[in-house]
Amino acid sequence: MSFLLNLFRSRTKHADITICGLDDAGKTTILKFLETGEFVETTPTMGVNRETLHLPNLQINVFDLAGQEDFRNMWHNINEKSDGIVFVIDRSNIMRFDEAKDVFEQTIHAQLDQDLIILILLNKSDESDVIEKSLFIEEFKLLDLPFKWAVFETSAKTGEGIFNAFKWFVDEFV
Amino acid sequence: MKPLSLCLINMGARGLELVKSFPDVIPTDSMSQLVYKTIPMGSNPGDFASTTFNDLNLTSYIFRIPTADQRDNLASLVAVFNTTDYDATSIKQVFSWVVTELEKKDLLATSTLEGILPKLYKGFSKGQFKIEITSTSTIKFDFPKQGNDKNGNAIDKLSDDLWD
Amino acid sequence: MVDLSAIEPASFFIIITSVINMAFSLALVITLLVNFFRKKTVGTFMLLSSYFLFSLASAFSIAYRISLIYNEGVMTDTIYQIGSLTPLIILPAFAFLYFFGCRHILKDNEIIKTYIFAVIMVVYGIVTAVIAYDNIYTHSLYSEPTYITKNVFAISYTWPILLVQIVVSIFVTGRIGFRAFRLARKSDHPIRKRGLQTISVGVFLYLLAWLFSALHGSIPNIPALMITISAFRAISYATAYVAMYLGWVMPAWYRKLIRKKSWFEMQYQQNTKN
Repeated sequence: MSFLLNLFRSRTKHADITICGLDDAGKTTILKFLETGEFVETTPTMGVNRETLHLPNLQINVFDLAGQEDFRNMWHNINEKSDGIVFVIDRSNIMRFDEAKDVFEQTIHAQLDQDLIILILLNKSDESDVIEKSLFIEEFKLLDLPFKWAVFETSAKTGEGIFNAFKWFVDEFV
Repeated sequence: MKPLSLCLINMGARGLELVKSFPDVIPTDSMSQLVYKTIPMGSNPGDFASTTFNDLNLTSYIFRIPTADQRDNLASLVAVFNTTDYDATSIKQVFSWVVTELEKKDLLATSTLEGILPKLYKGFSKGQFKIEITSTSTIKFDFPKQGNDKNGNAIDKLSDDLWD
Repeated sequence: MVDLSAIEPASFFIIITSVINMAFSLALVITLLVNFFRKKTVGTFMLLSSYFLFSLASAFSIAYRISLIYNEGVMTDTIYQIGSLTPLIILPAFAFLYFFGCRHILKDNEIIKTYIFAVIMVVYGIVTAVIAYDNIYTHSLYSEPTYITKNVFAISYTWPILLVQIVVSIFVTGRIGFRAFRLARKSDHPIRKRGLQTISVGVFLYLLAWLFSALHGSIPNIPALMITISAFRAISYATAYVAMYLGWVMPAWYRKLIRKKSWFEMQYQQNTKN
């Protein structure tokens, strides 16, 4: 009987992930890179973009959320149901670093699911004057996080680090 | 087919914001809600939207607008009516035509659109558009006839009806 | 007990292929029903109604043949009436399909639609009257199999009914297929493009199956010829039903097959293989 049940049971797991971060951090550009493997010029996201990645035995629904202040109120509703969060930071924009830190803390502290997986992308690595990864980990107090997390240095312009970052993330779900 | 007002909306640092409306007849508190009706969630450049807000009917065209030094912004041209008796298809065609023409002439910018909004409004009243943008650039066209893109429409509707 | 030895063996082949086709058509109706409950749109309802009626018509046609076998090839009034119901069901099925087509695929304007609706109603009225008259008085619209030949190959229509059905099927199905093909060429969206192409292939195969059916009902009763045409008809119907299921319903697995893999998916699969 269980053999028959197994035959009809779907072997594909489903996971919902959200991409958050300040506006102009490169969230949609990263999503487009995952889709096309190329740098694509984007415009600000209106609310949310959705993309589905079909991997062997795993289907991932990616929700790319708009970063403007007015839209951040709705992040909570979507993040609440998600299995993982990708937080994107423009590592070249030192001016908005504190704002990014506040938003990151708010996002993380709103999470109740202890099994949540967090991927942090230090994006725009191709630009000059960027924050160092070690300094960032210290500033964002990542070592105190109660979740499983990883930080990757990426560039949605050159594609640097994007595959490795998402491979790590996806492997956590498999 | 005279609209109550024409609006130009774009994405600001906080979210959607009104750049200019002509004539400026919509109360400010209504406008702050109205702007979020003109670009629906998940919409992309090239999309059209028609919706209602209180007693008003809105038709908007969403497009990409270049900005200096930064990535292109998201904007929309909106026609606001206080009646349902208007042809949304023609409005969409006028808006997409204006944006395409300005883009062709490399003049697509928030400031240009702000400047031509009153002339565009006048064009809707007369059914004919002759808009002088600079001393050397003029765009001119008659009110479009309906049904220029029946195929695209048919595919979208079929897709809505059966698949999506 | 029915004496099956008295029945021409080719008849069984025809009935078995008809039952298989019926199963395909029922499967299509069920998937359309599921799609209707999912979408709840006028379009899905019209398609469902159309293919439900086509299925019903083929059920009557099978019932007609089985009844004849059961009655050892002897035609009775009841069996004759069962057989004559088929065209009465098929015409409304085509009407539903036409009105579905008018929603988005065909470009007929209101005046043309009204004329066509009027023509369909008139034709339907005439066909109904003729069939009713024939059932009561003449029994001449369908060839009556004799006990000697044991002919239960097909509901052998006489040419007026055959002609009406062929004209209507070409007019509705052919035009939908042609327009779907043209729309597919104009679409840039890969899934919609493939959907429209599949619809086009499906309806043309269905039209082909219809023509085989018509041929089947009008050629001389030579067993080998009947079996050949029946086989072609069955293959056309089966493939048409599969294509129409894919086109009209576009199941998730089919979309997945059409959809191009994303860069990450390709990289990931390559990486996990190595």
